[in-house]
Amino acid sequence: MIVRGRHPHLRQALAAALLLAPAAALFGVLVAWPAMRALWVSTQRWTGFSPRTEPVGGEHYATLFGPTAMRWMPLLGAAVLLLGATAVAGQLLRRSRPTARAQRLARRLGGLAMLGIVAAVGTFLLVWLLVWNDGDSFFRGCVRNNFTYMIVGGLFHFVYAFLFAAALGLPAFRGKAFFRTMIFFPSFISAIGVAMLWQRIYDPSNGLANFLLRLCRIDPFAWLSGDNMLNSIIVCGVWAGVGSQMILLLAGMQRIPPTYYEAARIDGAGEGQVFRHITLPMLREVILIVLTLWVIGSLKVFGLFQAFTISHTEKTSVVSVRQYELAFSNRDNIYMMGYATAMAVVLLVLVVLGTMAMRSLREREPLEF
Amino acid sequence: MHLFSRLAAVTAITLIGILIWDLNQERLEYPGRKVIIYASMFGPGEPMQVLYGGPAPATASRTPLGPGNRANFVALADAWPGHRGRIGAAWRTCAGRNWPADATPDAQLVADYRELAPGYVDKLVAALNDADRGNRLRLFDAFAQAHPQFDRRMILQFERLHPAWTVGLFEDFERRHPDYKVVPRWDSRWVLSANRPRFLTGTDVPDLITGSLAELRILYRENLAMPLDQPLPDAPVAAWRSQGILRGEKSYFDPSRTLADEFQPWALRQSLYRVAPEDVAESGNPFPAGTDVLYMLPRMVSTTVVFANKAHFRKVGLPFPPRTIAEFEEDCRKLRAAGIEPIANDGMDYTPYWWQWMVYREIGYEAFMATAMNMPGAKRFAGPGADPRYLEIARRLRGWRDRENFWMRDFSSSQWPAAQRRFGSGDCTFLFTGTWLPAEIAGTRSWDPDVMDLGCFVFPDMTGGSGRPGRMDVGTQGYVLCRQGRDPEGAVLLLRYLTAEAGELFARKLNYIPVTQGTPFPRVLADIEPAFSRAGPEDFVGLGVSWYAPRFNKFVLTETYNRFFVVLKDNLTPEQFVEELERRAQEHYARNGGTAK
Repeated sequence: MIVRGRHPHLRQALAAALLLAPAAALFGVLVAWPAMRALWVSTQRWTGFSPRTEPVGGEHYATLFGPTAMRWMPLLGAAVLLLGATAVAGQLLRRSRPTARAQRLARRLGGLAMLGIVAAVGTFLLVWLLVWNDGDSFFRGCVRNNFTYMIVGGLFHFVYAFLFAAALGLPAFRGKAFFRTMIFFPSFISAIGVAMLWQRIYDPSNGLANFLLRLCRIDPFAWLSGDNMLNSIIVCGVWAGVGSQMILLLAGMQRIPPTYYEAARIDGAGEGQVFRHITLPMLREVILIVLTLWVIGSLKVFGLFQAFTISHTEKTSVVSVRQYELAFSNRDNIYMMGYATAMAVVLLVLVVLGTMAMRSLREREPLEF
Repeated sequence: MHLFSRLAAVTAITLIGILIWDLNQERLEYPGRKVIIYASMFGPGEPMQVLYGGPAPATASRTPLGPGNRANFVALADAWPGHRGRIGAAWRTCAGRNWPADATPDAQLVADYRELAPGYVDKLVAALNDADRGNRLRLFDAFAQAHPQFDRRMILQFERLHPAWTVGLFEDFERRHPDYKVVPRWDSRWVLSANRPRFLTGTDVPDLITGSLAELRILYRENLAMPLDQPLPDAPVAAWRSQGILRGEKSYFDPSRTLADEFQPWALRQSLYRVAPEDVAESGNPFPAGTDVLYMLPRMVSTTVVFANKAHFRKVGLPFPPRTIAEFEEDCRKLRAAGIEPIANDGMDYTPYWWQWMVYREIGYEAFMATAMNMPGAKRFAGPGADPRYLEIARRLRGWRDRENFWMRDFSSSQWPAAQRRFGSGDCTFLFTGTWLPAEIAGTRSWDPDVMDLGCFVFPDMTGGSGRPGRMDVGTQGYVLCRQGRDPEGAVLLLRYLTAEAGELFARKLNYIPVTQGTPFPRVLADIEPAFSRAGPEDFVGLGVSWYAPRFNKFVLTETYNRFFVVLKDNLTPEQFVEELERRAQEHYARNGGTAK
């Protein structure tokens, strides 16, 4: 109805704008504006109790990264800008030249630019983490812990989730519903609940873990000491999170038409070949979604680490916990909203980077079935 | 288009209406009454400490008689023999044990129960098995109606029988002032964070906020708290304009005394805030830097002491308490030799206290503060101009940890409150913490005097040390009157009432050291009462680095100490510890214009 009349295109555009307006307004008010405001807050000294702020420019970032990293920052910024411009040029080319060759070239340019950005920022972060020894060492420890949680935890999550999904996908497997529920059940429990439960398990005197060790005549282990806590949290995180990944993978596996498997087996393919040439390629999209969600979740992880212990060292904390500690902690009587927000901005960059890295793996034409 | 704009307008108006309602709901709920919003870190009836410590097994949630209920059950049955059968049945359900037939009733408690009205006793006995906590409030109402003769002592009387005393105080206040309604918000430990958006926007700000002197510091710095001891030129009350609230207001029950007269002078002194230069320059505090201002009205005080299990001292044949560090060290060795773990401690919690207090005793509080605050001429932690005793203390502590094994097994991986549970169950002898401990472990400790006989002592002196012997710290908790609150007069009225009525409750329930005149010292802290009662101003240490330079305390002292003391594969050695302390301190001073912030 609304698009009838003398200028249907105009009216159509107007209708689209009207229909999108509420969503756009909500996005603007709840996402875009706070994000821009956060960037501004990160350049201020602010307690958050009164509107009074003191501009400090990039001081918080300089404190976080240290003078060596800050010297390299302009170069990194220039590289990211250049690569970003290349990606935009690729997009423009894609729109202006509809030929297949131009499309291919544009896609390749875009992919390379994204990979370049990921590589440049990734290398910078890696060098900052491992080589440059200045800046906020606690924050560096937190970033390192986030990456450890993401990589080591991710590996265990994914391998277990894949194995469980594969086992539950076997036609001959009995008690599927029971095992699926059992594995998925911990995902229902909140992070705080999981942490409380595992704190009891890891208790040095009365915990289940040490009780089992003692049964096997092995000396009790300090599960929650500063050196071991991160690994203990990873184990607990895997227990709590593997179920949700398994469900996604299982759903992906069950979407693959069985006729593909039948045809492959008739052609004489072994189980390994079937897995390599049918299951994996057809699960590619689901795997990438699972990994992307994990990367985002593991970088933003908070509840599990926060609830595990009251006091953290740089060996046990992660960025979001440190951020919370500095912005909201009554106990320490320091309210560093600006500094904590600078950490939030860095965390956002890490999340975007991780997501871009995952996206760059999705550049191929998706399989349709 | 018209339809859309109307829809948008209706939506916007609805949203604004909901927002306004939400911000004012606590006031709108009580039409015709003046609302005082009271934001607190304590919960109703079950103060934070008891909540954290866990309720007494099978009692707190099951019976309105609360902790220590056995004596109450026995006394109630003795006072009202006609109800003995029902009381016995309730006891068996609540405690899961047979009736303590051999128990001797407490004469005072029996007398208290005999004074109760028969109708109220029926309700009380009927409620013994009722797990509904709201029941306590209904009982309070019934109690108040049945016993008007108790008058102002009613709360204390009620407190002896039921634990819902915090809310009970408010109910009593409302009964005395029917035009007021106290709306409590139990915001727990995060009371400031929970109210920060309110302070920022200036809407729905509580009239009173409670917490510790240190935790509420941000409110003084940011000029969000009302000064209590300064004349207030714009105040609505004439006496406040000329003399300020503290001296302009009268005591709640005795108009011949001012509010200031209600307090122990040292308590008011220890609650002062000295305005810092950065408060004036950065946060707009209106007082000149260096002015001492009372922003917080104290309600109770805690101090840091070494709690000890005297049963272990008897078992090993040691005199109690150890007076010097050398005696303490020797006691620990003998306890260890007797197979008892000397010190209970959770990972990083309260661990820095040991180093800090050794420093206070050996080097002196003022000298340490001068070092930390980077005062000209002060000795440093390491390097040229260092005081070698910082290193000696670090070595001694490391020796206690590694060579002598004074700390409980696996303390590094122990998580709060495991250490206090182990201490309370008689596994370890010492626990160094605040005087809130007895309330925290009330529900979990052993009450068998052969297993746990709780005592305490002030941190031992160091023979030949430069620190003044016997000095103690004082951690004050109290009320802050919020500048943006809507009803300062009502809030001050409530403050006067609470000052008069709540002190004894806090001392009795939470074992806090009283700040008001004439309030008895908690019995469980009797060991330190003599030291406290004869203490002069010079016997208290100041509020320390955590107060004067919280960032230095966190980023330099605590975080470096955690790398030194908490067991890690790459622990700092004592030498590395003092060097790292100095390095980080210098880095911190450089970042903050030469000062510790």
